[in-house]
Amino acid sequence: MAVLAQKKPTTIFEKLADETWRRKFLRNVLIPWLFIAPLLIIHIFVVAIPAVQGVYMSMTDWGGINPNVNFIGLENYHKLLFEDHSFGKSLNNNINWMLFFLTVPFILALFCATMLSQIKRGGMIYRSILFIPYVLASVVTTTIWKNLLNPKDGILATTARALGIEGFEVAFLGRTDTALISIAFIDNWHFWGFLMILFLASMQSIPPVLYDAAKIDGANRWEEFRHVTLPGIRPIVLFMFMMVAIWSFLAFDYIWLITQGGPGGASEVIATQLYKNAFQRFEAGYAAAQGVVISIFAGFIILVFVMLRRRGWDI
Amino acid sequence: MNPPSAPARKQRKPLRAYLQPAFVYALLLLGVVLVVLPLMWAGAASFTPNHKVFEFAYPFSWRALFPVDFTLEAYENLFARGFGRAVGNTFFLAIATVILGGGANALAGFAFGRFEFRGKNFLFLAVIMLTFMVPVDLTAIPRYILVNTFGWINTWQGLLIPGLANSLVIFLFRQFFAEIPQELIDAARVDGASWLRVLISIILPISKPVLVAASLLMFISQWNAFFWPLLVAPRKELRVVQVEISLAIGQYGTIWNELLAGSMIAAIVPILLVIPFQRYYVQAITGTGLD
Repeated sequence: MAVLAQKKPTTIFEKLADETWRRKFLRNVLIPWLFIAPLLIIHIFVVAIPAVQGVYMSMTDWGGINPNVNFIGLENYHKLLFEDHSFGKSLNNNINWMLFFLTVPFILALFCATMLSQIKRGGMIYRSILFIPYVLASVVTTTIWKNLLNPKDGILATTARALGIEGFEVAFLGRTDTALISIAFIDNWHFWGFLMILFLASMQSIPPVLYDAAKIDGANRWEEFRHVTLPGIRPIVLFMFMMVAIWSFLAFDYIWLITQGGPGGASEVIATQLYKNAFQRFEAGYAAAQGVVISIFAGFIILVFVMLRRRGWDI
Repeated sequence: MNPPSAPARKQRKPLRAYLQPAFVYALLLLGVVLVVLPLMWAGAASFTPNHKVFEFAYPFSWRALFPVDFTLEAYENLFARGFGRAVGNTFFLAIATVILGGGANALAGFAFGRFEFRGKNFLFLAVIMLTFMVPVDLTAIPRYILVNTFGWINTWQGLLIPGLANSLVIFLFRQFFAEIPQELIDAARVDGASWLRVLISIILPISKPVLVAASLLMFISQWNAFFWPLLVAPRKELRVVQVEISLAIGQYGTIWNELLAGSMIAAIVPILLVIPFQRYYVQAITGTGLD
C-alpha cells in the first residue's frame, strides 16, 4: 500500500471513494454512534429536554395547567432566595439531613463491615439479612415503620418502658422536634446496609499481606483499621460521601411518604416544597426554580469532588 | 480473609480468642434483630385477622411476631380487590425494562467501553452527571408534559420508556466490556463478524456476572418504582404494586392486615432475587472502577 505517497482525501466524494477513510469513518464515527443511539434518544427525551425545559420554566410565571406563560427573568429566584423564608428553613433541614447521613450510616457501615470481615462462619447469612432493607420499596418500609412508631404505645415506647427507660412515649413523627430525625432513622434503616456491603467488598479486596505486616509491626486492632483498612477502602468511602451529599439535597420519597413535610413544616425539605408548589399550589415556574437550585447544589458537590481529585487527593 | 497459615500448631488458644468472635457475633446479631423484627411483625400481622393485628403489638410482646389466629383473609381480600392485576402489571413492566433497557444500556456501554470516537468522554459525563444531578421532580413536570404530547398518559409506553435509561447500568457495562481482551474481538473481526455479531456471540456469553447484576438492578428499581407510575398511569388497569399499596393507605386506611399483606408481596420479590444473586450485585457495584 502506498499510503505515504497518497494525497489525503479532502472533498466528500474523494473521501467516500477512499477505502481507508471509509473504514475509519465506520470504526470511529458511524458504528459507535449507532450503538449509542437508542440510549441517547431515550436520554434526550427523558432527561435532557425536560432539564432544559425546567430551566426555562423557572424563568416564567407559569402555573402548570393554564396555557398562559410569561417570561419573568430571574424573579422566581429573587423571591426564592430573598423573600420566601420557608425556603431557608427547608434548606436548613436538607443540611441537617446531610449531616445525619454523612455520619450515622457511615459509622454503622464501617463498624459492621469491619466486624463481618473478621468472622469466618455465617458471614454470608449476616450479610444477606443486613442487605435486605435496601431492596425494599420506600412504600413498604414506610408503611411498616409508621406502624411501629405509632404514638400510642409503639414498639419503641413499650420496649423502653419494659426496660425501665422513660421518655420514649412520644409521637415521634407528629412532633416538630422529632419528626425529621425519626424519618432519617427510618431511611437509614433502609440505606445503611448498602454502604456496609460496599465497604465489606472493598475490605475483602485488601491484600492480606498488608495485615500481616501490620501485625509484625505490633499494630493493635485500631491501628490496623486506621492504617491498613481505611486507606484500602478510601476510594469507595469518599465516592459514597459525594453521592450521599448529593442525595441529601434530592431527599424526597421517605419524607413525602411519612409526613409530607409536616408537622408544621418541621420536616420540609426543598424537594417536598418543590412537589407541593408544582402539583398542589400550581406554581410550576416557581417549583422549577427550586429544582434548578437543587441541581446547582448537586453540581457544586460534584465539582468540589472532581477538583479534590485533580489536586491529587487520590480520591 | 485468611492468609495461608503456617502449619497448625498444637496449642491452647487463650480465652480471648473465643470471647472476641462471640462478641462480634453478638453485636452483628443485634443488627440482624433490628432488621428482622419489623419485617417479622409485618409478616405476622398480614396473616392475622384485622381486629387482632394490634392485640400484641401495643403494648408489644413477642407474640406479635407470630400470626394470631392464622388466616389468609387479608391476602384473599387483597386479591379480590384486584391486587393480582397490579402484581402482573409490575412483573410485566419490570421484565420489559430488563430486556429493552438492558439492550439499550448494553449497546451504549459497549460503545463507551470499546470504541474511540470524538466527543466520547463529554457524552459519557453528560449522560451520567446529568442524571445524578437533576432532581427527579424537576424533570417530572416537563417530562409529564412531553409524554402527554405523545398521548402516552395512561399507556404502557408512558410507564415503560422513561425508565429504560439507567446511568449505573451503563457504567457497569462499560467497565466490564472495557476489560475484555482485545484478542477475542480481533479474532472474530478477522473472521468477518460484524460488530453487532461480536457483541452478541462473543461478548455477551462471557458477560454473565454483569448481565445478572444489571438485570437485578433494573428489575428491582422498576419493581420499586412509585412516583412516576403514580403520575403517569393512575388508571386502575395499569396500576403497579407500589401505587396500589400507597392508594390503599388513603382508601382503606384502617385495614392494616391487607396493607401489610400487600407490603409483604411487594417485599418478597426483591428479597428472593437478591439473596441468591447478591454476589453478582456486589461484585458489579464495587467493580465499577471505584476500587
